Amino acid sequence: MKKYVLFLLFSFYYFFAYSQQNIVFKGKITDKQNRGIENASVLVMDKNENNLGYNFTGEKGNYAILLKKIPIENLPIDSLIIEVSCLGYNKKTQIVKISATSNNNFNFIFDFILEENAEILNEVVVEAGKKIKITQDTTSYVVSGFTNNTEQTLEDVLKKIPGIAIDKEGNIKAHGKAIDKLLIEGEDVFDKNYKLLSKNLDAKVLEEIQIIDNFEDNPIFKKFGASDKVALNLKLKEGLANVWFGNVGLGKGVILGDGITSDARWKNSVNLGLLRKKIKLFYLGDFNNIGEKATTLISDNTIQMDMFGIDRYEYKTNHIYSINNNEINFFSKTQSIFNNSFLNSLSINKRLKKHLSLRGVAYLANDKQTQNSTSLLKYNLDSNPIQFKEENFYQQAKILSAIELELKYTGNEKNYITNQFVFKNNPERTQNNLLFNTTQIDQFAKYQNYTFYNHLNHTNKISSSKILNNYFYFGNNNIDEKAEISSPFLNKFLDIPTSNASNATIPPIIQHSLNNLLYFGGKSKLLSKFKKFEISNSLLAEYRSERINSTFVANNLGNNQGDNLVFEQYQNAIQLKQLKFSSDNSLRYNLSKNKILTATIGFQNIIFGINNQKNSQEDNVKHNIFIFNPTIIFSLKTTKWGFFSASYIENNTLPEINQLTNNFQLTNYRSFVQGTNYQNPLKNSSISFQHSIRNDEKRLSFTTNANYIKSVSIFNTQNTVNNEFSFGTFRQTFGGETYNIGLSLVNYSRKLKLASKIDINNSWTNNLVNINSSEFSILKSYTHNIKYSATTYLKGGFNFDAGFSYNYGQSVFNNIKTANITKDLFLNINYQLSKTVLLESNNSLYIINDKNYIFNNIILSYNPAQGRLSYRMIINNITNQNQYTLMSLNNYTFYQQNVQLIPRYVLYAIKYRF
Amino acid sequence: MKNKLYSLIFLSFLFFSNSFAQNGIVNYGFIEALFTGNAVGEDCNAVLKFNKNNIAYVSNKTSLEKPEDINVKKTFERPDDSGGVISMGMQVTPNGNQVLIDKKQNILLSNDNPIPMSKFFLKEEIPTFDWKINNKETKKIGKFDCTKATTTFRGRNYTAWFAKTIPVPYGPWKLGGLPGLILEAYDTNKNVYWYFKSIEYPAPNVQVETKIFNEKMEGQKQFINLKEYAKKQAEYIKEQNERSIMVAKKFNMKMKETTIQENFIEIL
Repeated sequence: MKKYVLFLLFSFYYFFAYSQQNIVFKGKITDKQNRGIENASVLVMDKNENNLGYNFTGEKGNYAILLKKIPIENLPIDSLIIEVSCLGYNKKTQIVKISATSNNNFNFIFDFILEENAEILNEVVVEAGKKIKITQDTTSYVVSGFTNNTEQTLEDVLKKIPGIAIDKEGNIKAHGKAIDKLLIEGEDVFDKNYKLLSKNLDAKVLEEIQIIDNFEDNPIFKKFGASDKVALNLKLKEGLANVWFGNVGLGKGVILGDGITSDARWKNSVNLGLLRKKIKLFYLGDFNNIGEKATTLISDNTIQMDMFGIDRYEYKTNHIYSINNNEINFFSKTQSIFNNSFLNSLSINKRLKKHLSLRGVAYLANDKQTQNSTSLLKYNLDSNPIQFKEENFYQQAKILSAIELELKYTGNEKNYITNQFVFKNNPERTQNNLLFNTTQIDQFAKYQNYTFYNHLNHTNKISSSKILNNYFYFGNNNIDEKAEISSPFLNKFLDIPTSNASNATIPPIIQHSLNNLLYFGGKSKLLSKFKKFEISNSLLAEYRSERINSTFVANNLGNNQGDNLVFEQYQNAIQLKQLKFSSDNSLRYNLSKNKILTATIGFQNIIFGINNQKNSQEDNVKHNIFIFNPTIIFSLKTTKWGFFSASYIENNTLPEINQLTNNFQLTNYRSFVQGTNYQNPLKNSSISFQHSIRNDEKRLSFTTNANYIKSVSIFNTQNTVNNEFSFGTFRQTFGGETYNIGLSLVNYSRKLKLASKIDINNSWTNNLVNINSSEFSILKSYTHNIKYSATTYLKGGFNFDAGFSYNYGQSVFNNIKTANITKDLFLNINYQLSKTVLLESNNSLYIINDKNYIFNNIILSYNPAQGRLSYRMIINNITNQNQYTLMSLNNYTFYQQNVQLIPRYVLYAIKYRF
Repeated sequence: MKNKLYSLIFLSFLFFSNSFAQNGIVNYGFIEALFTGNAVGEDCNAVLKFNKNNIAYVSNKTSLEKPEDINVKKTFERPDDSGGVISMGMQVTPNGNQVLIDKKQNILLSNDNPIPMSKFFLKEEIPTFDWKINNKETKKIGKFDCTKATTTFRGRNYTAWFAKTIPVPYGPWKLGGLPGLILEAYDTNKNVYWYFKSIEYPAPNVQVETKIFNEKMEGQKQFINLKEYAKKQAEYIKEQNERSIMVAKKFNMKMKETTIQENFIEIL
């Protein structure tokens, strides 16, 4: 009995043990000298590379792996993979078969002998995967993670950074907002003229680009609360601090094939910089005739009103007479602009004393431009269409010299004073010779333009929750404009006697006007901070005086030299004086940390005096006007869904001086414009909505916006057009409506190593237009555009930068529908031939109303690793596309223009970096 | 004479018998975001030195950081904006947070704990990990192809990317036991995150520390075991919460409880 029980127990135990038994792989790993290898890893996988078990060898080289994942019932198993590896030895892989062994112990022995391989591992990964760092308000992008060596300037690099968008003019937006400043190593050097830096600074000196949210330059305002301004900060490569660095580039081009001009092309540039603790200095110089204009890099006037920040008021007066320059906006500048440009800018940021720093910039820019074209313009008017044909030769010389000085004084923690002074001298000379139908018309316009502005700001921290800012400003803008027009049409219209001699010159008409604007004012702003809300109250007093005095004279009449005929009905002497008292008050209520409601109310009391001369009589009118401008903005910041904002804004303004003139003025060689009497303030209201969501880690950003603008009361022109002239009179009317919807999506796909961006915009507009009629009719227009661009970041070999855009515009007027379609495609391929040689091919195809234009450029650059020289060869416009025909259906007109394009040329450039 | 020969043979044996007698050094970056998560936190350097028997890992050490980076005040916020951390500078000490492993004696010594005024080392057996390796999920870190593995260890679920081509069972901090060197590791919410910076093997000038660097605090035991450590964690949390209650009471505010998760890497 005992024996049976024992046997049963034994068999149960055996059974138990049997069903619990696992497959074991064991063995010994040795080297060629039969010594055991310790710490070698042995990995067992099934034929689909699923992991079954692993272990490491012990001191003597023995290993044992318990394969729990393989039930014994599965035996025999055909292919199991054993991988043996150890540092210092070659890896060994073996495929084995196992089946139930006769002795039923399921222990399989596999021994391996490994070959030595003195391995050296030396790998450094710089910030693996951390090309984007986010800390608090700053998002930093390491430049090398986003560039592909084809970038020449800072602007080229910024275009590749997610979150930064640059428009055609070079204006920079970051995180959806226009940037307040572009800083270098934390310091502001160029203020509003950052385009000088973005278009000229060498891309190779950049290490990191930082986007700073909630940026505030004024240290007292910064401690106060959240500003919503955005700034960019450039961090330069190490080794550039305390040394002179920069580059000198020379480029000379030769026209290939038959060109229209025989001018050689050239692009020369100089960059010089010094960054020291107490002084930062930049000199940027550029001489080129490949289409990059110099004067457009310097900003115009700035009007900035920030309820919870600093304001800046710079007003300027206007030209009356203008000559169209026929520039084509579709193509890039190097394809269509004939220029000679010369840019010099010197900027300094220096710490004078412990609490006083000076920022100064001086610019001298000179542009000479030639644009020639022929065009045809038709007005669609019922049974009487009106047609003009023009052949146009245009030349302009423009000089801009300016100096800007800013002093910053950080006295103590409670006081901060800045004074900014700007002086600009901007003379311009334009010459235009037109063949209008069969008549020759010559125009010559000369402008002398002086401006100066001064802004003094004193910020005082009254307590930890109250700030008082006093702002004093004054400015003056003076334009002396002289336009000389020799036009037989004009002379005939004005009944000017001309001699009938065949070689008689047409006596020119001279419109000479002096426009002057002088203003000064002061604004006091009190900011108070409470637990849940912030309040801003401000009081402003401003005096503005603007004047236009123009004379309209026919010179050198026929027989008697010096006999002038004066046309008083086209002369104007108007003076506007405004004395404004206003109070702007704003409440920002933080419902919760992410829900912010902002409401602003502005009251203005303006004593508006208009002094107009008509027929030698002075007409003096004074108006006492009260204006009320409300604004409500609600914004919501969530982490999951991004940022939302909705706003309602009502804006009331007074008309401009040239809308109030008594008599007609000549605004171009065939248009006269007359002002009207002032009745009411102009008004428009808008509702807008915006949503943006950004996931920097996932490299995704998505923005939508929608807005509706209603112009309640505007100044519109009532036009009378005949074959030679158009006469417009300003009228105050009801305005129209505009609806806008836009969407933008940026995404980086790690798998495809592709960054892509898509922008869609739609807008519908209703406008009132009046031509040759007694009533205003409605003009409905609709535009739709979609733009897609993608860039690849593959390592080695080819990389692409491609995109397309489609624009559709349509308008309906008097039941006539006209439509306009343009498409453009671009494909830039770059191929790294070797470590130092890069080949780029830039191709663009423009389809404008069924006409094709193809531009191809090839660039070959050689950047030797050692040494400071680098070489580039650019072949521009290989297919020698040399004429452009523009047909555009604009409002109620049909317009066709033929313009010359830059012919094919080869440019050799060499750059020396130090 | 015979003795000399034998000793010569014995010495040469010793000389050639090591599989990898050489030392290696791996540099990691370590981001501690215990309160904020999502790898938003102070980023410091960590170094792992190894040879066949000993491993020495250290992070948060003053000499590993650039002096100008140490005292920068930063604020880190939780992604759902339910709170944040203001850091008055990097949490570095002259000796750093160390993990020392001796394979032969099967001992692991470690001292990273936020309990202030305490200088004790946790002495335990080398922990074993139950890794689930997914051979299909791979990614490249630097020039190494890495495979993904996951496990649960002391209250956190870790994901580790290890390189089979570096077949040493080591990794940053206490993580290891995979058939390859762990180059990147993090837990589910990225409250802790180690990422690879560089490797050098062999590294002849590197010495692997086998002794801890520490001064003994008066009246305190230098080595404690896991049970005592768990007790100390619970005590610390209780103290912190009691302190917050006092402050809240004094200023009529609402207090927020803190947990072991928000303060310690290991949750015992």
